[in-house]
Formats: sequence, C-alpha cells, structure tokens
Amino acid sequence: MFGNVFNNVDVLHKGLDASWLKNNVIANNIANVDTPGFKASSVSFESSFKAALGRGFSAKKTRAKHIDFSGSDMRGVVTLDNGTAYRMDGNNVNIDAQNAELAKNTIYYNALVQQLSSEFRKLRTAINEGG
Amino acid sequence: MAFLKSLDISASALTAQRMRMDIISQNIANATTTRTAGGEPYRRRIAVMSERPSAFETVFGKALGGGVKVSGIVEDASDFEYKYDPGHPDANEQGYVAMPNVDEVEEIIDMMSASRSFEANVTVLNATKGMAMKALEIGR
Repeated sequence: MFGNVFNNVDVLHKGLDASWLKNNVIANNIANVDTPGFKASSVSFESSFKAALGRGFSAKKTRAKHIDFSGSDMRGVVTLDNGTAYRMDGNNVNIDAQNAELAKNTIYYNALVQQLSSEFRKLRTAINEGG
Repeated sequence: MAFLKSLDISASALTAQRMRMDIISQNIANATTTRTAGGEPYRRRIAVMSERPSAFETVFGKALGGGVKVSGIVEDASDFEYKYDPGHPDANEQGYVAMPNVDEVEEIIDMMSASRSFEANVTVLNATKGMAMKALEIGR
C-alpha cells in the first residue's frame, strides 16, 4: 500500500538528484572558465524525466524477485560538448549561458522541493484525517 | 561528501582565481624591477590553470570534474624591453637598461578577468548554498 503512496515522492527524489548533479556540472564549468582547452559538460534529465512520466515508473530489474520501486530508470546524463571552440584557447565555456543555466536550475530545484513538501503535507493531512 | 561537492568545486575556483590575482599583483609590483636574485630583470609570471580531476566519484562510469587548480607558475620567455638610460646602474655599455617584460595594460585586463571569474564563482557558491538550504525545508 505504501508503495503507491510514495510514488510521487520517489519521482521528485530522482528529480532533485538530477538537478543537484546539474548544479555540480555547472559549478565545474564556471570554475574552469579560465582553463585552456577545457570543454564544458551539460546534464540533460528533463527529457528522460518526461519519458519516465509517460511510461509510468518501473524499476529496472535483472531478476524477477527484485523488489519493484518507481522512478529508478530516471537519471541525469552528463554529456561533454567536445565539438565547439568558443575562444582562441580552445575553451568553450560560455559564461552567460552557464549563468542562465544556473539560475534556471536553482529555480527548478526549489520548485521540486516545494512540490515534495506539499506531497508530504498531503500525506500528513491524510494521516491526521484532515485535522 | 557528495552533497557538498559543488561547494568544493566553486571554492577551488575561488582559490585559483585568488592565486592568479596574487601573481598579477606581483607582476605589476615588479613592473620596473631591473634586478632579481638571478641577476636579470624581473620576468612576468603566468598562472597556468588546469582542471582538477575528481578523486573518486564517478557518475555512471564517467568521471565528474572536481574543479580547477593552478597547476604551475611559468615565466614569460618573451624579450625584455630596452630603455635608454645611461645613468642607471644596470645600464649596459651602450647605455640601455633591460626592463621587465611586464605590460601593465595586459596585467590590468588579466586582473579584471580574474575578478569577474571570481564573482561568477561566488554566484555559483551562493546558488548552491541556497539550494542546499531549500532542501532542508523539505517536509516542513
């Protein structure tokens, strides 16, 4: 029974993890803005998030007896942007784009936290019979 | 600790930019130094930045970056500028003094670049901190 109750929580948890990973990668990109030859990385998880939402979440199981849990196939994917050169020194960190990404990601993270909080609030309301 | 890794990355960049700033200060301070321990005029120094690899952590088999570090301080090998000043104690037989190969304009530009990079990393640091603080509000 509780497996269903925490479905949304599991999904949001995965979203938070991916968003935190994205923050890590952006921090690293901005830290290396003056490193010659450095190539920026990016994290994409929104697309896999959406795909997972459409599919309904299921755990990737290698054996039939594995316990099922939701959202386990959702993860952030780190890709290295190797093709472009933004400057003479071979570095391709675009500081403006990175800053915009950072702002977006922070808002996204905060939104997920709020959703998670309201999820727990709902559960608490149900447990307390609305009281 | 994976949770505070973003902070470590940003902190490493702040350290590196500060180091770069130190070197720029040293260059500007010695822009007219004609004597060093080695006997020749002061040579401009350059901080070489390189990506710091992550120690242990990998994300799905790929190593995640671990920030930045100053991997070396190298001397600018370009020629000294010669200034005609026969009265100078370091002048050669023709009356020319070898001056350091420090270009003040270049140093100022580097300084601005370092200070802007520093600011960018402070922004990231604050954003990370804000996210971590927000996460503490879950379930409240």
